[in-house]
Amino acid sequence: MLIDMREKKVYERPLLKSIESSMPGKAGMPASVSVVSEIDGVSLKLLASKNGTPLFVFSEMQIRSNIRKARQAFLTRYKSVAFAWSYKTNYLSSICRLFHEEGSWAEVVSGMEYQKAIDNGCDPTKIIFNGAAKSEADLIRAVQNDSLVHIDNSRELCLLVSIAKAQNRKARVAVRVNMDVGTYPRWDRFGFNYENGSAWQAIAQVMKEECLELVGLHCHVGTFILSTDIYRKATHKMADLACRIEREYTHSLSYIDMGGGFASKNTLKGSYENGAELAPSMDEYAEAITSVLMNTPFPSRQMPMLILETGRALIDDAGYLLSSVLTTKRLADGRSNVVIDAGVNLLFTSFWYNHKVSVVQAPTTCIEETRLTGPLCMNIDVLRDRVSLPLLNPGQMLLFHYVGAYNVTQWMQFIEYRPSIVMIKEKGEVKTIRRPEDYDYVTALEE
Amino acid sequence: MKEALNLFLKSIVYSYSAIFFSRSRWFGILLLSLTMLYPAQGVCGLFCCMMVNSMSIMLNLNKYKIETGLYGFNAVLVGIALGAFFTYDALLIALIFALSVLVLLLTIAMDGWLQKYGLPFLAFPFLFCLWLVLLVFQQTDGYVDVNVFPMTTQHALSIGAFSVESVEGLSFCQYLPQPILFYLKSLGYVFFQSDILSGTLLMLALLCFSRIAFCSTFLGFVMAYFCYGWFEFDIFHIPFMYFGFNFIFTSLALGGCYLVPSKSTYAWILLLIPAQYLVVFSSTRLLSYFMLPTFSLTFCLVSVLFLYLMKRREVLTSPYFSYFLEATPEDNIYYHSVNKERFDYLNYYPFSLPFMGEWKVTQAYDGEYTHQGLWRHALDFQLEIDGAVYKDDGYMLTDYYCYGKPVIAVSSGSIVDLRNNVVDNPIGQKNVEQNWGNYVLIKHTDTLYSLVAHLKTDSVRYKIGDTVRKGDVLGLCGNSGLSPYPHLHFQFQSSSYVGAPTLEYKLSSYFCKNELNLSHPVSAGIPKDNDIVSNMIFDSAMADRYKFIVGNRMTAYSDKFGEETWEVCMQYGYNYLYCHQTGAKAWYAYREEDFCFQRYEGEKRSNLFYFFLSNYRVYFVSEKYQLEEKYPLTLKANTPLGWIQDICSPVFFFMDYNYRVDSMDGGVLRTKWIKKICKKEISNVSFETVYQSNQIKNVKVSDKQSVWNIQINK
Repeated sequence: MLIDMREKKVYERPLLKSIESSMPGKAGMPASVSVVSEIDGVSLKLLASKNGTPLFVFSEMQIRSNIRKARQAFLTRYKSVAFAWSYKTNYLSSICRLFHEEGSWAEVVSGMEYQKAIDNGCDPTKIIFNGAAKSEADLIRAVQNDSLVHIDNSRELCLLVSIAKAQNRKARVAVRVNMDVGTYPRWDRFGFNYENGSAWQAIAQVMKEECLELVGLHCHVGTFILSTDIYRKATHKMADLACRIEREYTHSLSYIDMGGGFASKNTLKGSYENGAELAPSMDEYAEAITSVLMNTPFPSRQMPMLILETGRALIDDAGYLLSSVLTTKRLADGRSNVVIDAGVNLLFTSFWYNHKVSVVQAPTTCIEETRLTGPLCMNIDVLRDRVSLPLLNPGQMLLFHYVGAYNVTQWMQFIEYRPSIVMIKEKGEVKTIRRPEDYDYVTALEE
Repeated sequence: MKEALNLFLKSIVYSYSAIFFSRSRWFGILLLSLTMLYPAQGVCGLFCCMMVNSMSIMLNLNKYKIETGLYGFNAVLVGIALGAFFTYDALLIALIFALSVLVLLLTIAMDGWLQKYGLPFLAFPFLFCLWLVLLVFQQTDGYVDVNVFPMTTQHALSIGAFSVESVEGLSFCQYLPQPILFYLKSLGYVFFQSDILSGTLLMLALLCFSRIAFCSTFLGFVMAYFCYGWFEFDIFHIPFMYFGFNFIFTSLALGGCYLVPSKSTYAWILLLIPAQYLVVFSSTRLLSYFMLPTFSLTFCLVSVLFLYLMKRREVLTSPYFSYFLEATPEDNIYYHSVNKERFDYLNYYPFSLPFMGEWKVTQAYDGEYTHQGLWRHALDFQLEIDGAVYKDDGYMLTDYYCYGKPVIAVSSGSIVDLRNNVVDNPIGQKNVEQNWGNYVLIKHTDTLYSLVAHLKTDSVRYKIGDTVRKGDVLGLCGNSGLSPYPHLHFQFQSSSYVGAPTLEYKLSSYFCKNELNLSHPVSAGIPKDNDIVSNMIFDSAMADRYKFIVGNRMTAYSDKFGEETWEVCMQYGYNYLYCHQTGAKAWYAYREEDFCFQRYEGEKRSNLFYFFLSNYRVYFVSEKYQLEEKYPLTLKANTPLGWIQDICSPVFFFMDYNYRVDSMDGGVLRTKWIKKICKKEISNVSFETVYQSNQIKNVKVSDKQSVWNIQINK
């Protein structure tokens, strides 16, 4: 760590700490503090001075690198692969457009997301419409635009038949399948079950309907799945269904959509190991899924395209949240409590992750177990319950890592305004991709 | 009945144009009217032509050959010759009937004999017919009217040197240089007309028909004229006028009609002059024993022999054979200049790259490490991310991105040799004893084998004798043999031995990325050093939009050209869109990889023409790509600048019409027609093709003046 000598030294407040002289535990020595003062060569201090904090920062370079690595992992193992960008993970238009530029399709789960995909210039025939609650109006539109509708339930199937008949079109559909692959809890609320035969029933129903064209099968076995074996099992079952369709109907599917659920580098709460080391690499996921497909004897010898809807694993490490310390205080048990300007209103995922936190300035020599709380006047507003950080002073900045997924879609306008989001472009240029909210924005819809 | 009549009329017109190897309606009609300058001869020619064509139709001979005038053009010439030689009486009519049958017999016989060799029969039937007639009648005084045609042997020999001035009536002719004068007269003699007016008219018609045809005939003729001095043998005193038209026709046949005009065809035209002189003089001498003139024997013989010579070449270089026999030399040169690259893939058996995904060429042909000498035509590939071929510190095999990735068969074939048990080298070490390491050698055809080498130990799942299909996984990329770092070695060879010399051969249908990370489709090519290449992955949804079924009709409406009905037609295995309103045809090809227009004939002020321009070639892929191809310059308007380009075209091009695919975004295909002069863009028209589900919906055309839409409905 290089310390700029010209910089004013950080004041270190006095601290009393008991000396721990016992043997190191099996987790080794206490964690060291990571210091990050720039992203892609752009100084965080400069970013904060221009845009204020809290501030979401996205790295274009990281996004492109992620999707390219993922594409390479799959495309060097299987001939035809498409990634469909999961809009709900992060539907900032600038980010979606990056993915579309890199060849991703769109995977949407609502009329709003659908509209966004269209506005982002996505070819309507390359929009996958998922979800358990599609409205009739949404379905009408999707069928009109020849988008791919993934059927979730029988009511939707009936609705699609009547819509397609009314429009005198052949709607392109896929059946969403859920299955037992050994995960707990089982994700059986979406789609039709494989084991109890309702998936096959739905397929038979679709094949019977003149106005529906079964183009694919879809499954999504869970989220943040750390075992590649689960994908191996799921792919087996999906390939089995596809083969059965070929045998019984002499109909080849265009694609098999294996959904997403790949883990990111985040550490789940309660996880003993560090997430960045625990998560399988994209290559391992790819090997699991493609090896099953490559070894499946499809009767027609036509390999269906493989579609992946992974979101989290592609965007989580490209997003950062920059935040400033507002004040520090001691809790009743003597623990240090640091109040920062970003709370759970911005970092929704802190409910289930222990986000990695870095300091922006050079650390002081002392490290203290700290509780990080946000600005909300709510008891739940805790970002990290226990994290080893240097002695922080008001005004100092912290950087939260792996926050690219779900936060800027699930964040709340609650008590505070939502801050601006910037993207560091490939050449180091900083672009605001969402402006901060203000009073007018918040009250605009009120009577 | 109507169809037969249509065929008959076409055959008549094209019989005239076929004399000049053309299939142009107006040129045919013009020539027909030119023959009527000497009405008696003209009527005889027309009558003879009608006889032969009607007999051909009744006998159900090949319709295409009848229609294009191939069976009729000798008849025209024979008829005109009869009209020129004979006085008009019952005998002449009887003769025409007799000769019509004879010329048909000879035409079909010559055609049957020569087409086996892919050669034209030219004017041989005419020659033989005329000789037969002359053999019968030349001794009988009073029948052959030598005054009309001053070129029979007796006449030529009796008057000695032929003087132009004696038959010249037009005064301006004396100001013309002699070669030009002779050129005009020789053209006239094609129809047995001996005045300068018909020659001049014919020259103008020829010029309008084709600038290149005019230039090459003129060049051939004038060069021959100037060479006359060197070859003149005093024994006969045969005047140049007597055989000069042979040079015109040889130049026309070889300098634009049967071969694509180029510098080399011009060189051959000059090189063939001495040989032609020899044939002229020797044949004249030989035929003089029978009192027969040599007519066009020289042209027929030399042209056919030369074309045969061209066919015997083992490696095809310039001069190339023409694509379309009945087109103009301009069509041939412009289409050839474009098609050489556009359809190069047709010359190769389609091989894909031996892997999936995007790989980098780390050693290409004539590489600096090992691809040298007999093994220079080989390719090495590695995987790369963010500029590095390995992750971490690269000391482990598994650090290399390419290690363990599947290697696939480039085409179907049978495995003739393989090895699977060589142990992978640690990083940095080589195994020189088993330098190919683990490999698979596949036989695709009797003389085409492909080899992948340095595979991972025990990764090959096949045994010798197994057949594989394109895309089957042969094994995994490894580090066995002469391989210090994991990479894939790939080569073609022509024999089944490992270590055999490599073969240069093009790969088909792959993408190559440029510095801007944009993919360029390569229909046939050899990857170069540092290229990032990947197989094309086809998008069947895109392919469906261009699947036109023969017999289907669609309508195209635009404010500019109104409504048109396009029908999907097929002729001789080739597809085209036919516009019912304008009669225009847009020929196209549909493959697994792409849809492309090959040729456009007919009215250019039509929706079909703009559709042709906007969808000149479309690849069926979902990946974004950029493509630049050339349109044939036949699309250019008839302007003075265009005529200059025509004249220069065998030597160089200064006009360029480029087609560019800019992007495929949100289901809209953006293409451009860029007009360039001396490499500088002067104007462009851009197109946006919009699709709706599985069909083409709309083409938006925008140029400088206006923006308009063509709506297409199936």
